[in-house]
Amino acid sequence: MYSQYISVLIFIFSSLLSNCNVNSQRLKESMYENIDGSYACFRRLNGTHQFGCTSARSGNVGVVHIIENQSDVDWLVKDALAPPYVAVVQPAMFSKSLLLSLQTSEKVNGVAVINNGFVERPESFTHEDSCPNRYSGLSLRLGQTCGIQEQSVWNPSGTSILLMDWKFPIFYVTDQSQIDHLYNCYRKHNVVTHPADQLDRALCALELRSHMFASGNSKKCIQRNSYKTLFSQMSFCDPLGGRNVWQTLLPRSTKKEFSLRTEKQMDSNGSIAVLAARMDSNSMFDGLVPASVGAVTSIVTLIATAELLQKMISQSDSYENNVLFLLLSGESYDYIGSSRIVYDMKQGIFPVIPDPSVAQPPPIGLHHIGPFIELSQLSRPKPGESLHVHRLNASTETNKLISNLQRYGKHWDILFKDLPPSKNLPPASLQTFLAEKPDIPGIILTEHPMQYTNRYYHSVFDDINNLNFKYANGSQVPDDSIQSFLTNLTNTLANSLFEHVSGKPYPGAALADPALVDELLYCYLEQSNCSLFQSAGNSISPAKPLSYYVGVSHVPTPVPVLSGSALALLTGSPTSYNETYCHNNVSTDQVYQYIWASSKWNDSASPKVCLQTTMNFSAAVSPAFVIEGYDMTSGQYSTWTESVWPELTAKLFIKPSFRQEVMTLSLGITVLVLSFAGVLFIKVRKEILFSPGASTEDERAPLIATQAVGQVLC
Amino acid sequence: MDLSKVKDDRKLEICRWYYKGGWAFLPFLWAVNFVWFYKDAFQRPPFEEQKQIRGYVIFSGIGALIWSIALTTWIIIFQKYRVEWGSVGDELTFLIPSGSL
Repeated sequence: MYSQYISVLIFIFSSLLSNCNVNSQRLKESMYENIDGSYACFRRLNGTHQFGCTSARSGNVGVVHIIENQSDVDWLVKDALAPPYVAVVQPAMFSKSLLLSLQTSEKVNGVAVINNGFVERPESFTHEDSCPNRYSGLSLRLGQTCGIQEQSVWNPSGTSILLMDWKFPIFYVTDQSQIDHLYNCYRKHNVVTHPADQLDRALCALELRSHMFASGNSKKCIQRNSYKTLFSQMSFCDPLGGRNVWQTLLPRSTKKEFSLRTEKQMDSNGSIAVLAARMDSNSMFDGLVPASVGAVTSIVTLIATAELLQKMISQSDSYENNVLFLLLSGESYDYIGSSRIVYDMKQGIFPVIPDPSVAQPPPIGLHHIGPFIELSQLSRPKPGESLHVHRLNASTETNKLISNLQRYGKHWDILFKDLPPSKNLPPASLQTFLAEKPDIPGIILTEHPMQYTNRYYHSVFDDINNLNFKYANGSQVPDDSIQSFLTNLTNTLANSLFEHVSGKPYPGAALADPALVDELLYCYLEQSNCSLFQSAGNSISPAKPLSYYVGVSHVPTPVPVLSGSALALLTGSPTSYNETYCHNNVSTDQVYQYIWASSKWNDSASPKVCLQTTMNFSAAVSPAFVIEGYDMTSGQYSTWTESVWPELTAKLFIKPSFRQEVMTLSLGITVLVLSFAGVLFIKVRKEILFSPGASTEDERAPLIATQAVGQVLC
Repeated sequence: MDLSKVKDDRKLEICRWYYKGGWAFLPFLWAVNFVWFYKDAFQRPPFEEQKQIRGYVIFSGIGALIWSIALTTWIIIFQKYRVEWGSVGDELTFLIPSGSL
């Protein structure tokens, strides 16, 4: 009979238990609401310091407090009584002084920046240094060049928030419905007339999780990466880096049969012109790094120029000189890409490690570099205003280069203002080359004179709206648009570079195609699954704007891949190989790459063809991580690393009131104390409570005991 | 095991084993030995094995004490100076704390 009871009891208990499990899952889900569409600030390190944000391992929890004006800040810092808080701010309020006052108040456990896209854009929003890459580039050779002796700084609105170590997590929320939800929750639960009222009620709270594994500096975390414990090896941080894209206008080869230039295999000093642009940008938040002015305009101009020059070059002629196109990665972080190229050039291993048994491009050294044009921070100047030319030295080569640009520019309605040569060059990859060889005839073309006109440098606001771009989609491109300006600039650059290559002006009629510039801008700014990128053989990526953060060196990022394939598509020459034979064969031919792509860039459904191209990639990993035993504190090369993190999540939930929490805890402690007292009480009176005559075999014993307890308790 | 039901000769055997085991860098055995057999060694009326048990208990107690002083000292030094020692500190660390020095 008892066994039946027991089985029934077990059944009830187990069904209760399983119900509990299901319920607790649902309960958890209904308690927390994930805030999707949020981006987190993360930790980055260099050879000496750590920067960015982190949360505690299990996340930081804080009561939501929306800051819309200074009085909200004062309330939070001075009056608030239910810490910790998470401050929710609009971009216009997000400033260094606000963050510092929140941090020193010690009441704030996190910050959420909200932007639903409809708020007015702040006057400026740039959290980079006022002198970006202050300690690298020419500074290594000439000492500090930016912002000294009352000279202006390049990024005057720069707050340097990006280069500070924050004790709390910072999230950026863009999803409209989540922001509405946050506001509703805040208004319903948290708005009180008196601060003490918050102690009495359940409050709307945020849990921000962005715990960072790395700490200290790159040297320490790289060392920690290599420690093996008994059970596992943990990764703390990864070097920043990626891939540079490079291409020569004319093929160069150590073996004659692979090159068009059978007559002349050796490049003379100064014969290779360089057209360079950076491919990366930066912002505080992971996954949200637009770069309209910061990189896209320069990349697009470079690709369009390469395409036009390829059309200008006649296959039958032989040319004295060449052009090297460089798209560089990691330049926002102390010139990772360019410093690696310069390092490789000094070692004689750029673009590839020499191997006599294989046809490959011969090494390019710094002495081969002739005119060097870098495109940086390009946008359409105001009517009547000019682009600005920055240079270190006034040499005959640079004079000639500038006068060529000015001459062709006049034709294409682009003015170039030649600024006086100065040691204070804007942040640019050219600085890395000049630091090694100051007599390179290099210039930097920018839209700005001595200060950035881009008020959103290295920030989430350097997006499509910052450039005022409207996709023409095949229709006529307006004359006053960014597309038409970049097309004109492409014509100017291509004609100037052609003159360098052939020694005489271009006699033909080839022109840059505004539709191509339009499409390229669309691909880079709006839709990375555009038809041009698809034509170049890329698989369809999700339809969203690209992120231009350099990333970590061992994980490929889309921008270099897409840029390289676009260059190959637009400049490659068709071959007769079919799909099976359309692949690289590095053991015999390193001169060319082969890609299987559409025959027309504006029609991804057009017949496929095997394109032969000189486009290739080179490692953009700082020499600091290549040189054995490099001193991470020397400052010579970029030492930036990114911390590893397990998750980046933001959750909204209702936190019980402080009084309720105190009540629950006290109740728990009381029950604990009472149960101890009860056990002690029973133990002391065990002789009375449990009949000494009753043996354990006696079936009545439990009954007697229960009755006895009942009697005692009553 | 209920020690009160164990005979004295068996107690001596256990006490000796714990004492010997402690020499294998297992101070916790000594500490346990000291606590378990303290009453037998000092508070019970004299019995045959008591003298030997007392010896082992005293040695175990002293050993455990020395160990605990040494360990406490090392733990304090290690926790205080681990960060300062830099990479040496990290190499001595079994579980590296994530997100802090």
